[in-house]
Amino acid sequence: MNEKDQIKDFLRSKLDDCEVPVPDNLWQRIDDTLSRSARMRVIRRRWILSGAAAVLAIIIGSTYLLKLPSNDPSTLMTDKKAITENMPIASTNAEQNTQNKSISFGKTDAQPLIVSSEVEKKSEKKPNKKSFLRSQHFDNEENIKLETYSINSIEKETEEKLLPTDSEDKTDNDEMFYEIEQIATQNYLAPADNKDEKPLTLALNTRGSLTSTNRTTTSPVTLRSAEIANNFSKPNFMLTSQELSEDASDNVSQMIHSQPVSVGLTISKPLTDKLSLESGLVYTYLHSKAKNTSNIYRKKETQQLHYLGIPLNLNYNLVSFGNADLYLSLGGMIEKDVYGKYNYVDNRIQDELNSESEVKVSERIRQPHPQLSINAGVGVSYPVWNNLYLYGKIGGGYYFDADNKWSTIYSDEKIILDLNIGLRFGF
Amino acid sequence: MDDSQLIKACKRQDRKAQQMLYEKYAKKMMAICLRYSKDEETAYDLLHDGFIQVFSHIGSFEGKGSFEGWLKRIFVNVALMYLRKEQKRGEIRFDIEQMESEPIEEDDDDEGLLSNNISQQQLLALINALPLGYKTVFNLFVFEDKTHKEIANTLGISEASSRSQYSRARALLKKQINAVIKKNGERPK
Repeated sequence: MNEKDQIKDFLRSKLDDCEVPVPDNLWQRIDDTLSRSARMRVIRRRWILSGAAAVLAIIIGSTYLLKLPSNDPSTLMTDKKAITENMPIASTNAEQNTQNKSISFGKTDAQPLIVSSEVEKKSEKKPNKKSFLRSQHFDNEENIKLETYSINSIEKETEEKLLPTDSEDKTDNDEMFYEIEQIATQNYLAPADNKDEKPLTLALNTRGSLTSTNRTTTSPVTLRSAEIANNFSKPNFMLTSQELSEDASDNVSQMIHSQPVSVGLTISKPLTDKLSLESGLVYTYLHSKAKNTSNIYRKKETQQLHYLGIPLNLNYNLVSFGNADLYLSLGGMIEKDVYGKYNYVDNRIQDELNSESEVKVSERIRQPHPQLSINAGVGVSYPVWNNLYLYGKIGGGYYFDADNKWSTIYSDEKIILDLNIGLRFGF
Repeated sequence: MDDSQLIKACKRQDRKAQQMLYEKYAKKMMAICLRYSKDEETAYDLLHDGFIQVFSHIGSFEGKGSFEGWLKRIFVNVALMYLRKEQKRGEIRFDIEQMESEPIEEDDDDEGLLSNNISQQQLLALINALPLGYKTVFNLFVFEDKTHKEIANTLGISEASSRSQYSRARALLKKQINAVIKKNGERPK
């Protein structure tokens, strides 16, 4: 083996320090790339900071939403029970009304995302005066008596109403207890913090873009961005300079970006009566094709990208028409691809040899940078059943240049119109 | 400026130092790039990409070993990455089935190898003229001191295929070296 590997020693001794001249302009190329990389690093850092800021905002927003006092009716019932246990008790026979009140109580607290003033007014009217004190623990009392009411803060306000005895008629008792309930609720069950209590709304959203791209030109096109193609690689699927110069007139190029399709799950919390904050997770599917054909070649590229995005939107209720609410939505979204696939087929026709060769490439791809966008839209929501709302929104988004490696409808169109349809459930 | 000062300055992204480092090592690294590529243009691209890698990752060089050795490893890795991409695209294949099946008779005359009557450029040209599969295995075994097992793992081929390709490449090269030396007029009888 040693004898046989004499060639190894020979070549190493000869070529280990071998030097080969390099072209003069190569350093310039490296210098340009380094400068561009430095700029990219700054841009990337900004993206990361923006992304981090957006994530932080979402986390803070979510924490804020989650920390708000719960609207769980059972909690309120417990509170009310605690108070009412200390309250004077009047006799009543109106058990049937108990159930009515329980239902209306739940409805009152569970408001939808976009709450119109009219709806709110209706909701306020809905509570049944008779119902609250007729909940189960009162229903079982057979001999309800009026006793001294010991809660200091409402004592004076309720004193006069508590004076009547069980000899008074049922209607008067109902009125009286409703008012006691109102006072108790105002003083004890609705502390200052609770004035802002709003229900959370969960939404299932589907979005179909109204924008697509279908451009046919005589200039060669590729799904790779021009910068990457020119500076980082000379892949075989790019058109060679010879092809460009010889066959530009024969070349027919087509770039197609299909409409993006999205599905998302969002949660929103009203900040005021008319304003609500919405965030969640949105999945988007992007599909693109590029074709270059001429007398001597047919090149076809297809790409699929799957994005996950975090939206942050503010919805403002503009006006209500009956049960329907018209609202305005403004916000932004940060998206990042989670999976991407690229396919390339190159058919080369060689007339003189009467033959055709085919090269197929399939590879996983990734966009290096996250995609930021802002959006605006106008929508209508309509209650279809209890707290379930059907909504539709038409709008558009502006997609910032993410300087990504692969062309998409985001990079080529910038402004994309879309239609959102979904269901919201207030709880 | 010596290497350690250059490296320090390069770690600070000092462009002047980067250029000095490039000028100092570019020709040696070009020889490596040329050994692994099919043509000069590709070698230039590898040299470019290699230096970008060097300047991007120079912060990870701790100064423990030889800097030149570290540089060489980066350039070999860049070249291997390029070859893997080409392999994925079907541009090249390293498996022996794609190679000629006829055995190459090895020239037993090793005396030529003791001769100095062959230039570096001629040797380099002979290596570059080898089929890309042979050349890659040959380079990894001879210049990077890789074992056939390591080569097999790197190129995704069997160990036997690596041995076989090396053996064929060596036989072919030896023949050609002896021929060139003979042509140069100093081949001893």
